[in-house]
Amino acid sequence: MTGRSDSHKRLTDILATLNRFARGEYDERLSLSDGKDDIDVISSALNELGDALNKRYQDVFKKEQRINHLLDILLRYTLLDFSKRATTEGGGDEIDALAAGLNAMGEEVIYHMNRLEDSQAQIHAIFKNAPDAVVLIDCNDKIMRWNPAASRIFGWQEDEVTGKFLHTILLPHEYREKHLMGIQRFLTTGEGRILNKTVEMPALCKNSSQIQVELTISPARLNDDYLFIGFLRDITERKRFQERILHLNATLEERVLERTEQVKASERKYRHLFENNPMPLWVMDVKTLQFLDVNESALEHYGYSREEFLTMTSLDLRPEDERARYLELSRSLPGTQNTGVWKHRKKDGTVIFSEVIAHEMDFEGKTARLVLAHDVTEERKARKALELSEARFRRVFDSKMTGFFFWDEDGTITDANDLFLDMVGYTRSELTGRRLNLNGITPPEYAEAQILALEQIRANGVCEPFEKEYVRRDGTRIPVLIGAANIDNSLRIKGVTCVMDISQRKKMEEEIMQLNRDLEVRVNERTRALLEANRDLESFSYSVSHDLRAPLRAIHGYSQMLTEDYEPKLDNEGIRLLNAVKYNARRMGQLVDDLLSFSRLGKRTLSGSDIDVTGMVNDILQDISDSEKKRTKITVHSLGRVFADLTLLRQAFQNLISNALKYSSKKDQPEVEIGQIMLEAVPTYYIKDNGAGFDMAYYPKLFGVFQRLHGQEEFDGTGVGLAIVQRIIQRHGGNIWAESKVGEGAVFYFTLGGRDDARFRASDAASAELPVIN
Amino acid sequence: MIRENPVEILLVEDNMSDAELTIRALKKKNLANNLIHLKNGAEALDFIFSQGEYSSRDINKPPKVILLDLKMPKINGLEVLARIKGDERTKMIPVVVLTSSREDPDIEACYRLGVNSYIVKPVEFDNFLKAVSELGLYWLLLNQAPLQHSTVKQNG
Repeated sequence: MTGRSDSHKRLTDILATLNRFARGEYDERLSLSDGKDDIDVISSALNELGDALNKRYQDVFKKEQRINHLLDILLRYTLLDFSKRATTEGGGDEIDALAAGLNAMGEEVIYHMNRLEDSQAQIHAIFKNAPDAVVLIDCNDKIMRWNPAASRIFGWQEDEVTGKFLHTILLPHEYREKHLMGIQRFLTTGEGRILNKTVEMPALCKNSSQIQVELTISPARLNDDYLFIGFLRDITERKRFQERILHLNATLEERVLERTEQVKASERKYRHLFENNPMPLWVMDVKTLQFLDVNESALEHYGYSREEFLTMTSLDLRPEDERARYLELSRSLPGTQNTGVWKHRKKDGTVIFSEVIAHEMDFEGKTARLVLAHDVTEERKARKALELSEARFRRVFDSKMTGFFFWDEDGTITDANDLFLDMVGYTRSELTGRRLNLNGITPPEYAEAQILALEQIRANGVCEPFEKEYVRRDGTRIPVLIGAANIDNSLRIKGVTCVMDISQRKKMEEEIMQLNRDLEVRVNERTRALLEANRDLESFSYSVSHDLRAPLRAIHGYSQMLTEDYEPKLDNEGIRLLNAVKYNARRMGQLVDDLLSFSRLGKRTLSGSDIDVTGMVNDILQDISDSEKKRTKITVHSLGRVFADLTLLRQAFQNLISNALKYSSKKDQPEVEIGQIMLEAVPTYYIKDNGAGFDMAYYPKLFGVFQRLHGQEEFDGTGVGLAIVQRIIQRHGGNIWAESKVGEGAVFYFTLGGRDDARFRASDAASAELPVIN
Repeated sequence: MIRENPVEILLVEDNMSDAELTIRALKKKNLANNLIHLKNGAEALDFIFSQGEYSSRDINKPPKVILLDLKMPKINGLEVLARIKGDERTKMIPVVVLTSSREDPDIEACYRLGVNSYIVKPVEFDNFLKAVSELGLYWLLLNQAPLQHSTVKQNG
């Protein structure tokens, strides 16, 4: 048992040594037994291993020190202390190489550090002076740095925000969680949605206002941690600007829409224009001549339905005789062209004339032609009528009856007919040379009349015809009657003038005036002669009265004296002859008196007055001798009043009453009736007797001077009485007539003109009769 | 020629027939005793104004009436009338104008000159006789002539 326990102890030592070795303790060795047994071999090997390991350890330890030295240097480097250099053993092993490298690096770092310091100063200057906010935060979102631009933009100073959370300082509530999550995500996954991207977002300012910023966050590694550099740009202005741009864009959009709508509307309008155009319009395929579209007007005008029309070709509209010409001309019609007047045929066969305007265009991808067909049939008719009218006018214009000329505003005569040229003595070449001017041929004294005429034309379009003169080319004048009218409706005066040569008329007028003057002279001469004759007549009357009556008186007187003184010596025959002489002398005296009385009526001026006719007639009857009235039954009806010349009316009544008495005197029971009746509303006087009457066959002679219907031996009279009555009635503007039957009496009727008769107005005071003593 | 009896009627008439008829008519009524008939205007004026042949006549013894014909040679009736009526000494003498016709244009002139009466001599002798005799009776017997004043003197 002793052995075994020993070995076990030895083995336990070996194991402990191995454990020490494992722990890196190489200083203890195993004691050896002399036995040289296996354990001793192992122990010896172990001791040797311990020595080797120790040696190895010593080397390693030394190397470790050298490495630690290098590490120290390196650590210094990392703490930006580049002042120390690594020492080398000079063995040239890899640690020395490493140290040399490290030293070279240190040198280089110092070099770069120096450069970095410069660079840092630059960066700092950039940081300080950057126009954008530059904010550094750590991975916990705490603000590390805050540049002046950030202070300017957000209002916070760097010392106010350093160490505070960025999200509480800058971010609106709704962004804060997202921001923190973003950082967390980056820290765990290395991913960042917004990192190194520029995003726009709102940011808070110190004064609680919100501004719009553009944010760019870049992560940076600092030591083991990340930090983030935020660049923030105030884009409020830009945003506003952008918004304006957006707004502008929107407006633009709207405009574009509007414009589009307009274009559409325009399209509709054109469509409408096409559809509802009163002119027939259609679109046709240039190649096939097939109609592609047509408007209502065309359908209506040509009498086809739309379906019919759209199956037709342009040729179908043409009469056969027109087709060749159409095909010839319709091949190429670029652009818009008036193709002239064509014969078209309607559905009902009527041929019309259409003036066609064609416009080449694209229509649904085809080369098409828009055709406007203006029916000019009526126009052609109208033009024909106009041409006819013009031809007629031309005939009038060229007629030799009236001069015509056309003139323009400045008075230039632009056209004239030959007659007018003849009138003024100009040639047609002078006219066409525009050398004939209205003002040039108007004498100065008619300038005003011409201005007046122009004013009339301006106001009414025409002027009253008036007489003037034109100066002929040779300086003589021609009297004319002219009428002028405006032929242009515009304000510019342009007109036509009709000219009548009134030379002949003027000459005749002159002649007539001369004749009138001559006539006047002759009338005056005649009047003088008449006055003379009147005076002669008066003296004749006087002579007749005086000279004829004196011898008559002598004849009568001496006969009487003969009778008185020598009657005893005369036999009966002698006495009868003497009586005959006396009778004739007396009768001739009566004739002379009546004749003078009659002729006196003619020159006597009427002197009207209001007359009581009944009273006047009664006076007359009183004055008539009883011998004359004898036994006649005289009836006087009411005769009223009348306006007349008293003396003359009395004379008329007297003569008529005397006649009535005279011619009824031989009746057994003579009757005379004087009265007044209304005949056709005119007061009419009548004197009726139942005497001898007269034969109506001789009525025309009744009122003649010296005309008698009875013999002198039957009824005494001179034949002047009724002539005087008629003259009186006529001078009063009245009428006298009679009815009679032989042996049955007569009725004389008469009317008077009354107060209004012009004859009375001419009367004057000088007509008063002078009293006469018989 | 001086008459014892003053002249009552002065007849101025150139027509001898008319004068004879007038005088006969007046004689019938016995009015022509103191009648003087003168045959023209000149004589009449000499008589009336007591001049010439009649210068010895007393102008203050005028005729009772002058019967004056108008139509006379030389000085006519109107002139005579004008002279009579234009002279204070003679204007009182009644003047009756005798004429053949009522158409005489001088009638108006006669009235203007102050004629006292105007007579158209009728053709018929009976009427003439009647007219003249009535006239004579009127002017000689019925008419009261104005008193002749002695102060009225004859002019040189």
